[in-house]
Amino acid sequence: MNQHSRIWLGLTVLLCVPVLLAYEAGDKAFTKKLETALLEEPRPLSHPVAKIGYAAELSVEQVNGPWLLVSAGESRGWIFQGNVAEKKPSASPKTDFLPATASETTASIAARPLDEVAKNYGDQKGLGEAKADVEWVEQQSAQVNDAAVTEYLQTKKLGEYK
Amino acid sequence: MKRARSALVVLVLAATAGVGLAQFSLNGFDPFKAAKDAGKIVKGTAGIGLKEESSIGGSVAIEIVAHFGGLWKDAAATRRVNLVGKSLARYCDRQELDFKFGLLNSDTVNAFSAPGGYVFITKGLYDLVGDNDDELAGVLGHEITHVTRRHALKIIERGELLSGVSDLAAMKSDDFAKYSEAVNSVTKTLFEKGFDPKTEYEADQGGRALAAVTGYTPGGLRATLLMLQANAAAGPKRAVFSTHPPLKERIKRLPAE
Repeated sequence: MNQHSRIWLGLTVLLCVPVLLAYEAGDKAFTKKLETALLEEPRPLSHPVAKIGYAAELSVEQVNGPWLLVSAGESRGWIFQGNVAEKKPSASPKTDFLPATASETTASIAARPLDEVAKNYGDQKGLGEAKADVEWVEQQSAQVNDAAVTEYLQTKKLGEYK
Repeated sequence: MKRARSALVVLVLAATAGVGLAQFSLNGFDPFKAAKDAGKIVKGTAGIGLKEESSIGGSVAIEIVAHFGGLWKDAAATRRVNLVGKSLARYCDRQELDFKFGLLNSDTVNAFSAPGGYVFITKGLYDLVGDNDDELAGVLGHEITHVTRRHALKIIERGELLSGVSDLAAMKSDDFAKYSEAVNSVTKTLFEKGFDPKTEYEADQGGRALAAVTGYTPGGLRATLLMLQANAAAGPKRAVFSTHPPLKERIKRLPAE
């Protein structure tokens, strides 16, 4: 590798590093779940002090490890950084999410079984066995529901439970 | 914080795809009745809406499974992959997606994803990472990033096929053929050429970031790529995941920790 290549590689690595950098006070962030709770303290089971809707802009006021103290209008509280996005999400909250029952910081994701169009695609192409396999994956996946994932995260001390 | 995107892989020989298309016929079946019933399925002209994405993704998923001759139906392993994968998905940027994770019954080392949230890894790759959840998370994070960044859908959106897919809303008689063509454009492109290097690097970085925010070791993907590099001598069959772009470049662009 010549010097020119090395310089470009170095610049590329430097540009990639911020991917893992946390937010800083003064940054903007956006909610990405159908409903997101702002918490009283920077810990997962803290008391929710406000609930914010989808794609709301948040102002980051303070950072405490992976937790952010944010404000949105009159609301202010702590949120895990994994529950916000840098860019405003573009899904339609009315059509792209099921009317989910929101929990603390996680709104349930709409379960979507294999689409009817896709099923017919499989049938028309003589891929019935593969279609059945994909449906088997759907069934297995459905057993790992939101509660199971939360329990897993808590047990393994991952995400906001770290 | 940044995050992830998407992924997918498909593999259908051009000839096979052509035959598949030729075998298609409507036969009185209205393939988009469900879509019609569900209401509007196209997000204007700006891109592909979620309903279409789910449809195309399901079709691509069927093609992936068919190509590999079926699933490895190990319930315990499938549950583990879903637990790790859904943990990552909980913090990804597209919370409207319902991710599903499956294992392909193949000794090759590969991973695939399809629009809408379908992610598959081969038994060969599952065995390679063993019981290391950090490495499994790195691989799954890469694939999730392909999905959330709509990498596969962009193949359709930037081509002439977008109008064909968008025509679904109009219920034209040739919609199914156009739909099939769109599916094949994804499978053919991904299996034969792979994503361009920039897209793969983006998935690597996004996957690493997603793994990190979820609490896994950020270096899991890099460790997996290093294993693939070490196993490269085993032959191309075991190195598919690393085909595009070169492993060496991908590893260089990922920080050690």
